[in-house]
Amino acid sequence: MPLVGSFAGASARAYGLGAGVALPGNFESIATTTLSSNQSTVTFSSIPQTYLHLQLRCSILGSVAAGNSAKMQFNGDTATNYSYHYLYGNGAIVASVSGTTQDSGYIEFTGNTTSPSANIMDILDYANTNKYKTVKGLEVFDMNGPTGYVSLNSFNWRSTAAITSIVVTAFSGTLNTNSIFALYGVKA
Amino acid sequence: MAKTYEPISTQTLGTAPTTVTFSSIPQTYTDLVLVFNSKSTTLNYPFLTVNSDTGANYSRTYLAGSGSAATSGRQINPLFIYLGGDAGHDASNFNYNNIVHLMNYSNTTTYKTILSRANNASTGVDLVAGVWRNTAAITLIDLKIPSAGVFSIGSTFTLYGIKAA
Repeated sequence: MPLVGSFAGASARAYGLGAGVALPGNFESIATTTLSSNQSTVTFSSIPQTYLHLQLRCSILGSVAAGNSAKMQFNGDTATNYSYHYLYGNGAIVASVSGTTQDSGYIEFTGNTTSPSANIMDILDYANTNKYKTVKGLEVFDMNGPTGYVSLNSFNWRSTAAITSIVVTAFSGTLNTNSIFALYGVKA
Repeated sequence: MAKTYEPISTQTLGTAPTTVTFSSIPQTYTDLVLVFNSKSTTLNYPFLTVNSDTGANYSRTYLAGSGSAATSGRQINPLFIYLGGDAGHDASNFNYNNIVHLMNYSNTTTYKTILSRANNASTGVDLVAGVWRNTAAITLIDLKIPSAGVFSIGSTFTLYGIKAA
């Protein structure tokens, strides 16, 4: 299990890249979920197959003091078909971690109900049926006193299936009220 | 289909100011993205304030790579958000660029989180988390330079809005 959850004390997290500039005319909103109550899971289903890439932009609030992690799974696949690499800093240390045969990719988010994380996850070539799927993420949060976290990361889903659904599930605790999950499609 | 990602305003500097301001920002988007390519008269690091708030209401955590070392640091209660750690302006070339994401900027319930990815091929690359501890909607952004420096003529700044469904 990754990062944020293991953060208590000296910790860290990592990841980053992306967050580049899509051409404005090629960027379309697919669906958005704004939480009106604390929930453990957010789901995007029936994702249209008409784009080249997806971008999931999140502002996530939580209540696990040291920060939290959420699983990110595609097409309901909960088998050990994921792997990841992170580069991260927490204001004190810089570290890099990786994991193989994971049962999900991960999203890291704040343990605070007022200072949300910023997560920008690019899901590349998601509709392609000839190759595994790669996600790159930029994820940050800062809670002023307790901790901060910035990371560049990537995870891989070892399936050639087109991605038709995305499920984000809090590792522990919840995704809190007023969190926003917005899914966009990027056309070629 | 309605436009999702739209330019709000672009500035190409014809003078050399110490501050670049985007004001009267429309409240009709979900996120803002500020893209800029700039140079200065001295080696320095641009910083940001919002809504003209110069109080100790910000914080930041950064990850920086200089080419020889990776570092991470934090500032608690600063008067602004530095947008870089190793990537900063240089005085001779337009090597510096940055893409700053201001997430959920118009909501009036949560503090505002800013993600900055700065690059200078000569000095380094940075990722920054910045927070403005205020629940007010962001209506104004000031990009500034430390004293003794100015933004050089020819620097470009574009503010985009991203609208969720």
